[in-house]
Amino acid sequence: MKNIFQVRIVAFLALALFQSLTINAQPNNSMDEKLFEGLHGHASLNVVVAIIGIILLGLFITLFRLERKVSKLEKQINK
Amino acid sequence: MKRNWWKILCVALLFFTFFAGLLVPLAPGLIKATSSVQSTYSGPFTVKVTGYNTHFKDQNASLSAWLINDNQNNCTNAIRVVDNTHLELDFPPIAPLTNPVFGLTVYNDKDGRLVMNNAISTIDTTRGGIVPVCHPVVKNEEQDHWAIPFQFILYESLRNLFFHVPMWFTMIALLSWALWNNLKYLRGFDLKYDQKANAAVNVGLVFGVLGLITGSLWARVTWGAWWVDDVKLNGTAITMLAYLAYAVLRNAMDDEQKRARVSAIYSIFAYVMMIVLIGILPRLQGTDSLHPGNGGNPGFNKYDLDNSIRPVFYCGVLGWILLGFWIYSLRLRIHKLHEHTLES
Repeated sequence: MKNIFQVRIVAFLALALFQSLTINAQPNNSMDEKLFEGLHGHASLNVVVAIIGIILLGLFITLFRLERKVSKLEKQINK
Repeated sequence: MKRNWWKILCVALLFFTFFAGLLVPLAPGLIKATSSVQSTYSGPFTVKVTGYNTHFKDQNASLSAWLINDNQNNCTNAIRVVDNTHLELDFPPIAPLTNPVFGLTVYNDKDGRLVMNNAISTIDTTRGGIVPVCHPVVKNEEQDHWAIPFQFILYESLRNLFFHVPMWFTMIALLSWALWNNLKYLRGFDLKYDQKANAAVNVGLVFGVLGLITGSLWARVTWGAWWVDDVKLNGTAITMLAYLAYAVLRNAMDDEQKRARVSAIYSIFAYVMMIVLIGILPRLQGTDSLHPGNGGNPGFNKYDLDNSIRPVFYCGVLGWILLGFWIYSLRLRIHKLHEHTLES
C-alpha cells in the first residue's frame, strides 16, 4: 500500500518533468478554458478554497495513515 | 500542559492565518478599462472602467481620474459613476507624446491612488502630447484600511501565499531537522537519530507533495498551465524524486545499521542538492522564473511581500512548521512504540 502511494507520486513527478522538457506552456484549447473560466478574474477566490481543500485533504490522509499504524500497534499489544 | 505550549501556539497561529488570510479584504484596484474608440485623437471618447472593491459611488465627491502618457496627466471632462465598481470617463481628443499606450489612474480619498498601466492604446500616428496637462490632487496614496495588496491577474488568489508557500518552508524545516539527525547519527551510530531523521523526511515529503499539488493548481489559474518550464518547479520536482528514492531505498535494506548509514549519507547529498536547486539556482543572475523574487533579486523585497501581509505570512509559516513538527512527533512516537512492542 505504502509503495503504491510512493510510486504514484514518482509517476506524477516524472510525467511533470518530462512534460516540461518537451513542450512549453501554451494556452489550452477552448474546452479546457471553459472548465477554468470560473477560476479566472475576481472569482479567483475559488482557487484559494481549492488549495486549502487540497492541503486539508493531504493532512487528513496523513492522519489516516498514522492511525492505521496505531491500530496495527494496538493489535500487536492485544495479542 | 507545559510541554504542549508549542502545539497551542501552532493552533493559535494557524487560526490567525486562516482568519486574517481569508477575511482581510483585497485592496481596491482596477481590473478592466475599455476605450470606446481606437483613435484617441479623432474626437472625444469614453473609457469604461471596472474596479474591484472600490468605492466610486460612496466617494463621489473626491473622485478624480486621469490618463498618463509619458508622465503627462490628462484629466477627464466628466466622470459618470455607474456604481461602486463601474465608471464611465469622458476624455477630450488626445494625441500621445511618443508612446501610443496610456496608463489610467482613478483616485478617491478612501481607495487612494488606483493605477492601471497599459490601460488603453491608440492607433494614432499624430504625436503632440497631452493638452491641456492637469495636476490632480492626491491626498492618500493608499487605501485607508488593512488590505491584502491588489495584484493584477493574481487578485484574490494572492491569499494562496499563506497556504502554498508555507508548505515549502515546512518541508525545508523538516528536511533540515532530518539532516541534523543524520549528522548526529554518523557521529555515534545511535539508531535513535536514524529513526528521527526517517520520520522527519517522511513528513517533509507530505508537505512537499502538498506544495507541488497546490502550486500546480495555482499555476493553472494564473500562468495557464499545470506545469510550466520554471527553474523552481523543475528543481523541486528533482528534489522530491531524490527524497522519494531515499524512502524507497530504505525499504530495500534489512540490516538496520547498514540501512541507517546508507540513508544518512544519501540524505546529506540529497539535502545539498535541494539547497542548490531551490535555494541557489533560481537566484542566479539571468535565471528566468515565473516565481517572484528570482533571477538575482532577494526573495523578499518590498514588491513581493507587502508590509500589510507580512505578519499574516510569517505567522502562517511558523504555524505550518509547528504543525509539521507535530505530525512528525506523532509519527516518531508511533515508531518508537512499534520498536518497543517488537522487542518485548
